[in-house]
Amino acid sequence: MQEKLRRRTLVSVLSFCAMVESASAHAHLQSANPAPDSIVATAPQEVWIAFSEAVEPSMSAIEIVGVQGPVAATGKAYVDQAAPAALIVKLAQPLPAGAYETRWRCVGKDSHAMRGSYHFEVRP
Amino acid sequence: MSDPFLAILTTARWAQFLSLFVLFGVLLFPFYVTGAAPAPCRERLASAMRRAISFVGAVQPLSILAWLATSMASMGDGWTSLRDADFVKAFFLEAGFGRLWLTRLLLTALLLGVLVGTRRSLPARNLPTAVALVLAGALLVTQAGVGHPAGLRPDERLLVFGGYALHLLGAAAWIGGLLPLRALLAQAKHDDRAHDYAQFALGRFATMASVAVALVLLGAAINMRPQIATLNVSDLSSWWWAAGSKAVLFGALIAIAYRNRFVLTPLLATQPKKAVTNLLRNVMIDQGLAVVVLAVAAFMGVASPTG
Repeated sequence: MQEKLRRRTLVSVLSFCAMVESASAHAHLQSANPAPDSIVATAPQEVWIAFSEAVEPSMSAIEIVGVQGPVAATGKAYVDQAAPAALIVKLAQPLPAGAYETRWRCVGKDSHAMRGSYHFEVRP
Repeated sequence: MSDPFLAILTTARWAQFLSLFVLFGVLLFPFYVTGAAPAPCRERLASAMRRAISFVGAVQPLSILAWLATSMASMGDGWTSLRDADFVKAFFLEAGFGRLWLTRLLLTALLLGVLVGTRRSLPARNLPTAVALVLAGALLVTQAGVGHPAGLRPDERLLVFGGYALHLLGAAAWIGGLLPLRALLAQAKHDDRAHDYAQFALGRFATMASVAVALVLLGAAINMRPQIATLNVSDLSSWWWAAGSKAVLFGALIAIAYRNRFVLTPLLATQPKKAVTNLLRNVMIDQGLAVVVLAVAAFMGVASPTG
């Protein structure tokens, strides 16, 4: 009887043994405007990227690079309190026609940094 | 995150885990193994514990600095970001995790101060040991705030922080306590006078370890839900493979602990030499497995369950 109890205890213990580190997935891009690989007719005045989890705006950034080099923004990327997973950057001027690369760096609340880039085109 | 950062971060977290586990387990030992050890045992035990405290007491601050620096470099533009005053200020004062890092640095400074300032009275059932134990425990628990649990939704976060704390404190008490136990068994192997005390210590350790494993499992059960949500059986990420490896290693640890408690410890009464030799070997195997388990845990801390 006691041996059976011990064996059951051992089996119960083993069944839990994988759960050592609690986890959330790292932040990754879910959607964006302008969208990756899109062609937009209206020149955007801001670029926003929605991530899979809330981001730390002070550690995150969005940079738009055109053929002439980086495009000026009005300030650092920020997060709207109502949508803490979306990072937004306001552009100093609407983007002229051309091809652009969006380079982003996102740091999640869990301290993990993710980077990526995508292209879009402005073609009125 | 690039591979060099990933490798350094994993190594730093591993060293941090190891140093805090050993510190916590060794400092806790005198509070549950309360009997006075016979002279030869006492000297060997005290010497082994002081050596361990000196070594891991140096590794802990170095590894936390390496973890912090690599974490910052990975968030910015590499190592040069560490010299960028605006970036450093934003990290510590604007980011949600910045103040927690400052707290962890303060705890590290306090722990180092206690370990250096009261080194002659460590470890024993006294105030300096208790203070160092609380500081080591606080450093273990606050890891949750700079890791995966911090990314959870607010409604889940507090519960998972609690589970994380129980899990790590239980594991550290168990794994760290193996070190003084090994020193005792090593003495008992060559000195028959140490058998009675080793038997007493094994009994106390077994009771503590039962509670510790219960805490490990309770913490694990609490942390289970957010993990399961990320499980995709048809496309397992490296994180899930690591979790599987850890499950196997943890299973081996439990199986050895089971044999130590229910087979070898009772054997001490009838065949002490054989029992002590086998127990010592098993404790050393347990320690080796624990080192690997912590390395896997460190990797899981920097990897993403979704790949």
